[in-house]
Amino acid sequence: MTQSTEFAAGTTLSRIPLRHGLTFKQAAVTLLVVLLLGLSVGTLELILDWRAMRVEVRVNLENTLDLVEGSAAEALYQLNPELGRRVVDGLLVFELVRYVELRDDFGRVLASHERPPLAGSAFHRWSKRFADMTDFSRPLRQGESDGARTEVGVLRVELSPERLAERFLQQAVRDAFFGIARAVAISLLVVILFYLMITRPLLRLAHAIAGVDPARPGRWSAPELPGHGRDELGLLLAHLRRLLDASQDGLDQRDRAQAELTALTRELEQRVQERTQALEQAMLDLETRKDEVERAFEELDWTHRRLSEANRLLLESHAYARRIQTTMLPDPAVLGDDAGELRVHWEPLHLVGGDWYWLERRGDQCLILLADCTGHGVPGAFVTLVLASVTEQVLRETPVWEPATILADIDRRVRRRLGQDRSSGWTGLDSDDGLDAAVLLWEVGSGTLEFAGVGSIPLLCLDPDKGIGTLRGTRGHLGYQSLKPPAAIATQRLVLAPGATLYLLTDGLTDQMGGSPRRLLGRRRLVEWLELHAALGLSDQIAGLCRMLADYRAEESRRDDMTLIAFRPIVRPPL
Amino acid sequence: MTRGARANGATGWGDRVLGLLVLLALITGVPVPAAEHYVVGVENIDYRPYQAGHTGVFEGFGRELLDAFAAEAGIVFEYRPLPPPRLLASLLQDRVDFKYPDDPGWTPEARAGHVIHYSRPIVAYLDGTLVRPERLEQPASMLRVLGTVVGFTPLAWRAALDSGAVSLRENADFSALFQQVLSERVDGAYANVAVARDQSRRLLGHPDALAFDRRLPSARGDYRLSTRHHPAVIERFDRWLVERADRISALKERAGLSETDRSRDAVD
Repeated sequence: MTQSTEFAAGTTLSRIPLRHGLTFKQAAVTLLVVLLLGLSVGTLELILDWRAMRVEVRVNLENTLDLVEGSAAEALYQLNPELGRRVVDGLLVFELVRYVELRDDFGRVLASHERPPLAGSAFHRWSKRFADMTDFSRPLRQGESDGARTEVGVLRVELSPERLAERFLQQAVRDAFFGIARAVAISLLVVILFYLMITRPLLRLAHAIAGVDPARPGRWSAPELPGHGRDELGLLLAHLRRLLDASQDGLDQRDRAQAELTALTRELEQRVQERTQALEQAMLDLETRKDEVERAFEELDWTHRRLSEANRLLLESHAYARRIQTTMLPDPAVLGDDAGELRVHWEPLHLVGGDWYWLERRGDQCLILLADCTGHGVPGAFVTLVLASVTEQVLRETPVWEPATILADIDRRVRRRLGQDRSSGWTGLDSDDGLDAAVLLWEVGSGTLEFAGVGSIPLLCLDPDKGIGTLRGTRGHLGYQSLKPPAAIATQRLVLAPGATLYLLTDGLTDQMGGSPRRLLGRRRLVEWLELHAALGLSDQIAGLCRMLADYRAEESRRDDMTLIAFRPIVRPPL
Repeated sequence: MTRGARANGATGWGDRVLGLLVLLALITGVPVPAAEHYVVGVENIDYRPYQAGHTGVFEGFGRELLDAFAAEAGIVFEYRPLPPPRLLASLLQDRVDFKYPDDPGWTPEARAGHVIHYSRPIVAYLDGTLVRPERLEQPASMLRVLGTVVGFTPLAWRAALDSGAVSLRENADFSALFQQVLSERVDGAYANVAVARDQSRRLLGHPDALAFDRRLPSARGDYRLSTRHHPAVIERFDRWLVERADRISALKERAGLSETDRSRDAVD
């Protein structure tokens, strides 16, 4: 049964049974608390009284013995039974004393007296609480004429533990009685005050609350609570008054809101009806549009299929073009094993590209040419076809190879082959293609090499003792109708130490965007990487360089063709 | 209590030889046996003319007598004044070697079972009842309250006391006892007659402030020297009493105790 149902079953709104009343509960709790508190404090007091009484009895008896010590000693010294009896009788005046004995130093009892024991009492069970402090014995001495003090006997006093317990418990019972009486009196007083100050005003308030009209709470007339204007009851009344007023306001607002809601509902219904009609019309329009879109999608699919077919054809064309371009590249073994170790990494941006290289050996003379033609993809590949043709012609027709001369001839022939040597100015519609190129020439086994370049292809020389040095070519480009041929192409000589490695590379490597912050890879990073991994073989160097480049590029797309030629010539010591 | 060598019953010649040995020891530095030393328990009360020990120093006739014997016997007596009731107990528990004065008739129940050696009678005593002079010749039945000094048992009145016909009131000393009698708070005082006269003379200016009523109960006896463990000394003392009878009589005469012996003789 819940509390509310219990209330409904056992009480009415006008009358509360006594046992459920606040006054009864408060009285019971107050009485219980006071009794428990009194019991706790009383127990503590009992213990303290017990200890205090033990001390008091002991001290009092010792003081009493101090008083009679002289007389008792005199009686024992004189062996005067009469005086001894007086001392004994004097000590027996104290009701706690049960037995007194004066025993002389000859072992004889001079005087003694024993009080008859108490009749059986409930107090006797407590007597053992005092059993350890009942015997008192005091040796007695008498001064001699020579000043010495001679022991003349013993005064022994035995207290009655029953009388000690009786005296203690009588005091305890008296304290307990007054404690209970005090608890009851306090409880009654508190109950009366509680009823007058709280319960009665609460009842008035409850009756008044029972009279509240739920439909018109604002018209409630508050009861008079004299003397409670500023206390918690007054505060409760004020809050109740405010609550009822707020409730009345809420009811009024509810009525107004209900009316507004009704009007709004009507308006909404009207709007919904209009919108429904509009939607139905829109649905009809959508059906029409849907048909049109479906037709458009069908056309788009057809177009997509055509595009896919075209793309497939284009890819196949590119793949074939790559095969053609790949076959145009020389075999690295063409230089021979005695020339040194050589590794090439050629990777066009698309299937074909504008990077091209050539290797050739004539006698003991070896040549490496690397070119970066205009553009990439198919246009770049076309330029490499022109370059390959021109290069073959130049190398075949030149009796003595010299890097700068070779590059100048290539420039001239490319211009002619692409029609860029016409005297009339460039119109913007003619070919304006060209290339950057570099040539490396040396005798097999010699440590002296010749290098010439035009444009952006550098020669990196990794000396195991000195680190990497860079040789740059002449500024400008080869080809290009809009540009003049380079004024003078310089051939640079370099002497290699045994174990040195040379690198030719196009700008597709160094101009790759990536990293964080986002920027070009740059030649410096490349050089640092090569220096750090100089001990690796050339294949491992190229593979590691590709991984480093991929890591650096991350999500960035590639921007250009890339070609790297690594060459470690065999240098024979001079004879 | 014996602190020196046991008594050997030395004679007068022996004394002379001992004296010579002491002289030789003093001259030659040769050690000699120490003199016999005994503790004598005496009463610590003013009991003149017999003796007095209330000042802590034993003096009077008893002291002169025992000192004279000790000097001639070559022994040393140390006197220990004690309350009269303690004397017998101290003797029986060997706290003292000798007790003086003593009488076999005193507290015979306490002496039962003990072997005590007594000397020959040294001096007679007479304990009697003293009353105000105007009460002389009154019958004993008129005496209801008897006063005495603490520690003295009125043996002559024992039957009346035991029957309750007479009640006993003890006093701390003779002065209080005399005042009790003179103020009629007690009907009579039971005390040694010679001592009472001496005390009366010194306290009240004349010896007969209270009169000895011969018709009332009295007790007579002799003071002796007693011991438990030194009977040989007692034997020497007894011989000395006989041999030095004249000297002892002179001591009694000087102490005023010769009348005591004569009064006994007169009564006898």
